[in-house]
Amino acid sequence: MPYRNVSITAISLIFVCVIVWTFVYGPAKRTFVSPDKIETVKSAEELDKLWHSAGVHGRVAVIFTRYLNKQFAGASFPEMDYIDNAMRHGIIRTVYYIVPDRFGAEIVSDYYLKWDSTFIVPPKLTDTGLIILHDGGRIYVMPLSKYIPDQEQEKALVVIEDAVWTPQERDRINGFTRSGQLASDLTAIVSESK
Amino acid sequence: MVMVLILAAVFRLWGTFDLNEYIEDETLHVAYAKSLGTYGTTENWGWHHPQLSGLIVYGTIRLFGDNPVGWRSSNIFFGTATVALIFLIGRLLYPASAVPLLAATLLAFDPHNIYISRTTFVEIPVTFFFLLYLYLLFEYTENKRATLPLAGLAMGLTMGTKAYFVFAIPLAVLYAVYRMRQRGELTSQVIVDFVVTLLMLPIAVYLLSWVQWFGRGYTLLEFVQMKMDSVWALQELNMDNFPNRDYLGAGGKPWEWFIKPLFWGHQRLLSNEEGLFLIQSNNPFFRLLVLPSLFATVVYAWKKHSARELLPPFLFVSCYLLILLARRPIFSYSVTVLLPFAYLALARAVTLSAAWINREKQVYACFLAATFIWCLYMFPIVSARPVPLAPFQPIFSVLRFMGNF
Repeated sequence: MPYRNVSITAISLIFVCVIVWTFVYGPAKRTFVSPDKIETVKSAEELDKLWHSAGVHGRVAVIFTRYLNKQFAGASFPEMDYIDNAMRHGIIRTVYYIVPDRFGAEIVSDYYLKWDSTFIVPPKLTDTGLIILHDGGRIYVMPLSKYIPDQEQEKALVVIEDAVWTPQERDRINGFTRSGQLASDLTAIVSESK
Repeated sequence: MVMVLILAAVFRLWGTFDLNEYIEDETLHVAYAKSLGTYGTTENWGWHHPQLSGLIVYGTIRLFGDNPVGWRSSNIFFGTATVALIFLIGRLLYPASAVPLLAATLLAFDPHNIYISRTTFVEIPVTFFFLLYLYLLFEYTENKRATLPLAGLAMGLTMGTKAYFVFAIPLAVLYAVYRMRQRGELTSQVIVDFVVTLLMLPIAVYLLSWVQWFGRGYTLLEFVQMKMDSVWALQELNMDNFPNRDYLGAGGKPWEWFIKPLFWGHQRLLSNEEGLFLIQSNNPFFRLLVLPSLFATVVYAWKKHSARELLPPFLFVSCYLLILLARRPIFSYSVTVLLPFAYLALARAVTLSAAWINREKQVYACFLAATFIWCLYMFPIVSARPVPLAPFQPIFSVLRFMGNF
């Protein structure tokens, strides 16, 4: 009987500890940049190097861009799947691709029609855009007007492709960051000129 | 039985490390394990599967190196140990009968099970963990041994490896509850024991098996979201999603597995008269007897009002229904998880038939000899040993698919 009581108590304690662990272990493994930084990069390769050298891990990325994943507008560097690379290396666990509204519908339908077969199943269509289910986590694609930053979320790795946004759209993005709705410890501005 | 176990190990070990290249899905499994161990991320669209098997393979790779020993040694162990477990379970369910020995022999000498045990397929460890769970649970219900916490641990390891036993796991718990109630021992204390050891402990073990995934920054709420995504994604799968759909079709649809003889595989010809082969089959001489055997054992158990005798057929049906009803293509290696219950039922039918005709020793001797001789014949062509083609022409002439490796 004492053995039984000890084992029941021990298992109950283990259960409670494991549930608590599922809430604290992941956040404890996330690594951030301190103090906050804003960097300018010219290419996806530079962005990849920036994330690797910053030592960030387990993060959410919010990327304001026209082109998904492999290239930024007008850039003449070799294509690099910087998101795939970052997700596979555990740097990022969730990605938000925010695209200009004027391209939003086109990008979403293009991506849906031409989804990469390595994802095995097609993207999941949602009210705001689509979700790609990647080995490294969820990738959301949505137009700027549908994007509402989650204020409860931890600081994000923000990437802003400067050239593709109208002044009004840029104001909206700046508004997110200024108001603290979208907090970032490492913001990368993609620009042809450093 | 010791001899059967030794031979099971020999057939699973002999020459397994000679083939210093990936066999079939090993190319996916090994990449998955290394990525999981190194970065906590899966590879090749493996995110929706439980991760324990990847961690086991990563562990053996760390131990023995990134070579065939590191890739395959865990399955050799689990495949052999499964033979011992089916024997032990058979002894508890069919005491003082030849069922345990016959069932263990059938599994030990099943050429397809030997083939799968020599690679990295997850069906081998998940079957081992489930049988371990059953054995420890039955030791508690039948022999009153204090093995319930260990059964809960094994249940959690099963859940952390693959989802084949989602119906079979609660079915075994129901059986245990029934047995306790039958003996008048189902007290509130026992119910608490069941909840704690067979619910809370397995959930804890299951969540811990995702340690690498949680280590990528996730929390429990994101885990629930990922599980819902995986249910959605698996329902979206169809034949067009698989680049190797010819091979997928070669193993037969799940409803064919116990009805039609099926042979398929890969070859590497060394000359016009000699080659290496990795032939898979549904072991037709024996597996085609499974469905009639299940019927016979259910009728017998029903007449005898024996829940214990009904359990293996019910476990078979619970796993097979999941596969038959899954709204996605299923590869033939999934049959591995059905074999322990299929062979327990077949062994039971053999003992009942032998008793009926009053020729037990002769029937068992013939059955064991046939199992062993068939295995000896098939072994060279399921294990990539260099063989002359001529003796195996009867098999090659009925292959549904032959690729090259």
